[in-house]
Amino acid sequence: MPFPASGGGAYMRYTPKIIRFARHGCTNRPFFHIVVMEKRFNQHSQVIEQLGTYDPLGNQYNERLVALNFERVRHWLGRGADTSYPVAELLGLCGFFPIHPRCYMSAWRNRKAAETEAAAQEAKSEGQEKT
Amino acid sequence: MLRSVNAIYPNLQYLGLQVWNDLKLSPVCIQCVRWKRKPRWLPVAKSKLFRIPERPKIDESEDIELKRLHDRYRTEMRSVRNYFRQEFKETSANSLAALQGSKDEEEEHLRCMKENEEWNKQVALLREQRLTKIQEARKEIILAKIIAFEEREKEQLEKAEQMVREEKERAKFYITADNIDKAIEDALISPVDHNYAIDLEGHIFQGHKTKPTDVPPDKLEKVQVQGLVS
Repeated sequence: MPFPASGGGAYMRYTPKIIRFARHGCTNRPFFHIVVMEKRFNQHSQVIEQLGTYDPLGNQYNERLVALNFERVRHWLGRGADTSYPVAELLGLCGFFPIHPRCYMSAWRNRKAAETEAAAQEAKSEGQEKT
Repeated sequence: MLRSVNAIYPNLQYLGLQVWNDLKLSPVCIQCVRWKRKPRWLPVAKSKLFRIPERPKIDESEDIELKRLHDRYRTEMRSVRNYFRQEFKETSANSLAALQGSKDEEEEHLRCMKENEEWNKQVALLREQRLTKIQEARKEIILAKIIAFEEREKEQLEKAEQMVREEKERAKFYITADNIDKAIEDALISPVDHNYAIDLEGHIFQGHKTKPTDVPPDKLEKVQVQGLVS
């Protein structure tokens, strides 16, 4: 029997829980539920509770939409649930957590790449002007 | 691409694979596996034997910066987590609100118990009344039965006494050893003739006087038939 995607899994005491993504899209179309579940369980086993959704592909305005139930997130964090890295990054961008170092890293790397690309472009255009 | 098992099997045999165990081929639907990792027990390929993988190059200043950021992040996260934990503790079972709730519940329970006891008392009173009623009714029934029994006994005794009395009266005419001679003599003196005849109209002709002309018509007896409806 298929599990309900939005939770209903058994809550086991003394086992580690985690707030993580559960992929619910299809081929070439990722879509994630943000769920609380047993840390050691498979991604597609029954979740304890769904806390939100995350759509990584931008919509027509190039917005990546996130829905989160912060009240429940607080509750589960208070209960000692862990967060996976992607969820921690997302919560950091939400302003719920401090910003994850990985975000800073990717930002400066992107900046650096853009700078080098711009420099290369400039050099190329200068070369064209000289000839 | 679908092929039969026999078509695939000889191609794979020289790879040192036990086809049935390793690939778990299902004879119903077979899909060609073009590339599969080598099994664990096979040695490193000859071409890869002396290959040394390149170490990833890490920018030193970036590394230091990342370490700093991570340290800071972990410290901040710890405090955030502690904050949430504290918050949860305050709102969960041992918090003041929860305690107050449990206290209220206890009071409610006590009140309910009191009410229940009152109800029980009322019901007990009603039950007692009902039971005494039933008891009295039963007593009456039993008494009536006892009286009826006694009456029956009395009747039976009377009947028996009546029988005894009758028998005693009858005993006067018993033939005993004292008066047997007299009884025999009486019997001899008065012989009884049980022979008789009946005609169609039911007249009885006693003894040997079976001719109708022997008996005057006014002395004729008639048979008494029981249950005859005339």
